[in-house]
Order: sequence, then C-alpha cells, then structure tokens
Amino acid sequence: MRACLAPLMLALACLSGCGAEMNNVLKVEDTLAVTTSQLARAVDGADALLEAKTRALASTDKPGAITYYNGYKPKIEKARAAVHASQDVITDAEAVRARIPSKDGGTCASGCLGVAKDFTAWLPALSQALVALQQAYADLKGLVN
Amino acid sequence: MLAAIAAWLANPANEAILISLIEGAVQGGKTLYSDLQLKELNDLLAAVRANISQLGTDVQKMDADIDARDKALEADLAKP
Repeated sequence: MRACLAPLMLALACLSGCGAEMNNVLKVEDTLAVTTSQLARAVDGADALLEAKTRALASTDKPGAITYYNGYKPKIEKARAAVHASQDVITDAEAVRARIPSKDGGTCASGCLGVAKDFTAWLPALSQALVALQQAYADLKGLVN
Repeated sequence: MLAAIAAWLANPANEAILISLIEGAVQGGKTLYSDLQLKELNDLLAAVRANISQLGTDVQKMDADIDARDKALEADLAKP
C-alpha cells in the first residue's frame, strides 16, 4: 500500500514538464493528509468511547460488556491500521515531492519512463488505502450509533 | 467511485494512454500528448480528491458525535 502516490506524483510532474500541472496531485496528497489526521483523532475518541460504554454496561451486565468490548476493539485497531497505512502513503508522497527534478533537468523524463508500469500498478493501491479509510469510518460510525 | 478508478486502470487501453502520456513528455513536452488525455487523468485525480474530502467531512462530524457521547457517558459514570 506504501508508495502509491509517489510514482503518481513523479509521473504527473513529468507529464507536465516537471511542475506546471502538479496541482491536482498535490491537492490529492494534501486532502488525504487532512482526512487521515481527522480519522486518527476519531479513532482515539472512539477508543475512549468504547471504554466508557463498556464500563457503563459492566455495571449492569458484565458478560455483555465483555462481548461488546471484544466486538468493537478489533474494529478500532483495524481503523488505526488504516490510518497508519494512509500515513505511509503520505510520507512517501512527501519524499517524492522533494525529489521532483526541475523542469530543465534531464533526469525527469527518463525517471518517468521507469515508473510508468509501476504507476499503473500502484494507483489501485491508493484506491485500496481509501477503501480501508472508508471501511474504518463505517466501523467507527457503528460504535457511535 | 473507487471501483470506477480500479476499473479504469484495469483497462489495458488506459494503461497505454498513461504510458503514451509519459513517453510524450519524455520526447519533449506538452505538445506531444493530447490535452484530452491529460484532462481525463486530471479529472480522475479531482474525483479522487473530492471523494477523500467528503470522507474527511463525514469523519469530522462523527468525531464530534463521539466526543459528545463520550462526555455524556463519563458524566453519567461519575455520578454517585
């Protein structure tokens, strides 16, 4: 799942003469960073809410509380894993952003050719990361309701 | 939306478009690739971004709900 944005950024950088039309790619990365950070906060909140709900339940139904906790805790951990995977994608994209050659540089185009095939394989991985984030949202939403 | 992206990429014709775009850049810049192809790719990225942005909005609302529920529960639990 790592590095799926990286070749995307590099390829688009080259397509556009290394920088002129990077806006959409950079916006995707920035938006992903904001959403991931919001989800990370929600995961922490959900963890606290699960503890509180479990304690509230335990006062009247201890076995029920344990079942409830065991039902939701893995979903919270899965959501946390989705956040970490997305953070990896962002980290890789940032590293590539720093390596984008200048428009006049000769290495940009040859570098792009090398990643063309990988790029087409990695973009679906970006989709997978987003699907994981959306699943995490759905799972946490179930805890609130 | 995400399924549509995966389907778009799974089509060999679209892979060829991507490679031709990049090869065009290699050979000398924007004039060698079609504006329509670039628009297709940029539209795809814009759609991905809109999708992520909507998810962020939904998550933010959920986070507020979580906080409210947690505070209410903690208040109840603190009652003697």
